[in-house]
Amino acid sequence: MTISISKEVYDKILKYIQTHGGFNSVEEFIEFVINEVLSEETAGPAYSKEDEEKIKERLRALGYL
Amino acid sequence: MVRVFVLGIDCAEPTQVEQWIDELPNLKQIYETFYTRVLSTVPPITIPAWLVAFSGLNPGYLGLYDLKFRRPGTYTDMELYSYNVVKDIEFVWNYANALKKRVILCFVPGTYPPPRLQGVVVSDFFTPSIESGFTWPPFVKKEILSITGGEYIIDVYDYKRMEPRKLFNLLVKKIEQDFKVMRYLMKNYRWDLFIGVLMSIDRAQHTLWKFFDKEHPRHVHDPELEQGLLKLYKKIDEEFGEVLKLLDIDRDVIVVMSDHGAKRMYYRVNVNEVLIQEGLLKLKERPARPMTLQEADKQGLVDWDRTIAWAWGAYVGQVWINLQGREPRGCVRPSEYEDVCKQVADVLSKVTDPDGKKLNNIVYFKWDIYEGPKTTYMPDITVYFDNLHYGANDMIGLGSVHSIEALKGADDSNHAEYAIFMINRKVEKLSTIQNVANILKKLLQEE
Repeated sequence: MTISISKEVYDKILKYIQTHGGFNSVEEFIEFVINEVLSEETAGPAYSKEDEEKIKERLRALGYL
Repeated sequence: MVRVFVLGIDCAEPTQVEQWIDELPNLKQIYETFYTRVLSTVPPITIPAWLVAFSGLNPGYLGLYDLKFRRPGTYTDMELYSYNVVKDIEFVWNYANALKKRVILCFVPGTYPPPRLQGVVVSDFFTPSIESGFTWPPFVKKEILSITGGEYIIDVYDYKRMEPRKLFNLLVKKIEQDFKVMRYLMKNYRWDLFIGVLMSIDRAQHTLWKFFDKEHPRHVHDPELEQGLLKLYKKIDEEFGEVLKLLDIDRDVIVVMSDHGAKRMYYRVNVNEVLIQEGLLKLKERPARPMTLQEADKQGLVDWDRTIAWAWGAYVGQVWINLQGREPRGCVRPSEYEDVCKQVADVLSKVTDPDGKKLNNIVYFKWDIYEGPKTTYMPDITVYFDNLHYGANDMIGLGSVHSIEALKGADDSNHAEYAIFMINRKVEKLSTIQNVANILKKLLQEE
């Protein structure tokens, strides 16, 4: 799938990447930003039930619980 | 532009570092400029201590007294700590971002889920699995898994029941991995503030202490493991030497610190057993077997209407008073609260060793040590049994006040109240871990 963006925005992103690093391409940057916006919308608790049990089990092994 | 690099060594004990510094040439370069012991938090526990160090706030602002906290409206239900609990707090990394400086946080305790900072975050040992989103930005995870050959070690768990040589080798591997990740990020991402924290010494203190400490009651003579802890410090020093090559020691600020120390542990005090014996914790019936207080509560064995106090805690005793208006079936009137706290503290301060010999028990009251908006559910009383030479245990049904092996496993050492702080600059004198954030903030302001 191809999505168009303006040359001006493309250049801005390219400049940002060159200055700050952290992204290998403009495409990677755009996909990251969009995922971020979408994940903000769906942000839930820090741990799923399964994750919570996993951590509790480890904390028991570590002697904290 | 000044860059600030912080290496955290969780549980690095001042007496060990001071004694072994001549064998740690790279750390010694920093140590010789400025070194001091700093007092940790009450209690000296990993997540509260690091987050107090990096926020400069009293634990009462964070609501932290452990890696878990009690769910309001319950006696024994707990919630696990996550970064969501402190997301509104300004840490040094938020401060750096506000100054338009980029940060890298690597394994900093308390940073899962990873905060969305200007920079890179690799979360700590609370990362549930390598499938979890443990990095910020998310794509960094792929890089971390790639450079560690897909065998990323989140932490060395279950170390208390592991064969000691196997444990030692795994801790060496973990140190190598952690430094590999840190150096990769240092080289590939721009940063002005870098904080990396290693957990391996903490895991070793709890399990390898007995091999070098000839006065430990459970000392084991083993010529190979006698040097185990020192070897791990040396391994860190060697890897740190490679980090120094990426830094400009004359220009960059370099800090090496811990969150708390460690000391020989003799026994654990079964705090709830003491409270039961003294009639402060009432049971409807004795449990048929040893169990946690939480399990006993779930089975309906605790008579909360007549209970004055109950305890949690693994390394220190953490006691709550059954206060009316705060607890679901509180029976202590607010007007009696302070007097009851003092009575309970008096009972706990008199706990002796198994032979009846007096212990140096230290009691902290909440009103003396905590301040801030989140103190309501923090423990009313914190007890360091024998000034932390004795740990704590919240199990009941053990039939005795002391134990060595509990569900938590045997421990060679307990957490200790002092941490290390060294820096390659002359800085103002600091006495507590809470002072660290201000020092870092001042350094970040330098051009």
